[in-house]
Amino acid sequence: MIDPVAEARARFDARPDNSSWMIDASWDTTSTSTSASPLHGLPIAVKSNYAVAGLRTLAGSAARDDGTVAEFDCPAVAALRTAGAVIVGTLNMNELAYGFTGVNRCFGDVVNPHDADRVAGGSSSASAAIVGAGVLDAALGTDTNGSIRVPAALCGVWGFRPSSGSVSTEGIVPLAQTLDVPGPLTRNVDLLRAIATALGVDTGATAHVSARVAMLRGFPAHGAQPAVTAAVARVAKVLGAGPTVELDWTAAARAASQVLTGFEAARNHRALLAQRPERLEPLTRARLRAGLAVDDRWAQRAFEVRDRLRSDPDGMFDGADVIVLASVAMTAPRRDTEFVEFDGTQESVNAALGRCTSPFSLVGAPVVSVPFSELDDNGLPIGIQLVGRPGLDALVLALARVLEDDGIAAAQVRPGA
Amino acid sequence: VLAAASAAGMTIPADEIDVAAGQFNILAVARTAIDQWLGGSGDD
Repeated sequence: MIDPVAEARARFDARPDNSSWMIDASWDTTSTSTSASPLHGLPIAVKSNYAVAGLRTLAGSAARDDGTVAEFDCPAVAALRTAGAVIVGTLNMNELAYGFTGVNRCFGDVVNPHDADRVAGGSSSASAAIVGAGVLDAALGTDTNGSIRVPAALCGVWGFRPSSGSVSTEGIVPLAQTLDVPGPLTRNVDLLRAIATALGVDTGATAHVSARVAMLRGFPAHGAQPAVTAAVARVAKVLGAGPTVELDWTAAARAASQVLTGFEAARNHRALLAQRPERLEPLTRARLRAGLAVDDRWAQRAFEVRDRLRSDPDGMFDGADVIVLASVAMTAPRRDTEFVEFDGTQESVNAALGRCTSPFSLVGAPVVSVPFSELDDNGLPIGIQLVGRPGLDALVLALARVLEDDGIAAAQVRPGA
Repeated sequence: VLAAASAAGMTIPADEIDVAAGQFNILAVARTAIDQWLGGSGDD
């Protein structure tokens, strides 16, 4: 009988770029569940900010390593084990989930499985890379401002950020609790849905796929590589998208997400900053210090933006149920790229990577990052977001299935690169 | 940034002040964008 965990381990061991993926491995684990779930026997690894019994919960940070291991699984991990999944380890990430690049000076930069000279994206970096490399079919990540969707797009896999509050964050190291959501990255929509269901998301029936779909124009969809723009249009066409919409709140939502992330991250990790600053990466230190200078009034203004938007969920998308736009305006940048330019405007790579995702975190929307079926001219994947109004998790998953069945979307797995 | 660190009982090495200030400036720009959308400054 074929052992899927042993097979996955053999694939892992064969990869030349595996050294930065796992922080703690537990390949010898077996499932004791008798569940008939589609997850039974499936090897899954989780981002290292999830508490996994017997493993360290480092959240990608050496500053958190005090030699202790988690006594218990967090509820999300426990739910997957109950469904029969085999947890094979914890995965590398941007330190404390603060970043979009996959750079980690302590545990090694996570590189893109399609091109080792390019970033994998982050902060769920190895969660995307290990699926994009064909080693595992599924992994867990967390998404604050795009940390599932960005690496999923750059590595060519499916990623799902469920509606805010639909999955327990207990036992997961927070970055910014107002925005953090756990979710899966997978090789196909079946697994995306099965894991979401196991985590407690209302994934509903898949038969009903009636929706008002619109493509976004203006911020944050403006300024993208031509191949990305063309892919978005083709996906929108398959979904029967109506007239484009422009949402005047997205820039303010992105700004509010930035402020809340800085404010909450600095307070969540204040002890590390005070007691072990030398063990944090320099950029993390700088971001946490900046966040300490964000006072309560700033945070209150950011919450006002969120509350105003959430008070009108029906009007949020100008009459549409689902918005289609790029997950990232570009394919994976080279590791040494610091700035990119679109339409004459220069952006830092980190800002450009998160531009299309962060506005929708603030409103708590469920979002699937869809891997387009064709690579760009450099052989790199393109990701497209299906953004639903809050609570429409089942709908965006059903639309993802439509795209997969059509053939216009498919994971771009690159085994043996 | 220096004042906030001091209030929290922390110090910032001289060679790391500029980087922290740069990160703070990103948040300050975001605060401005929030005020523009909401109207007012929220400081009154």
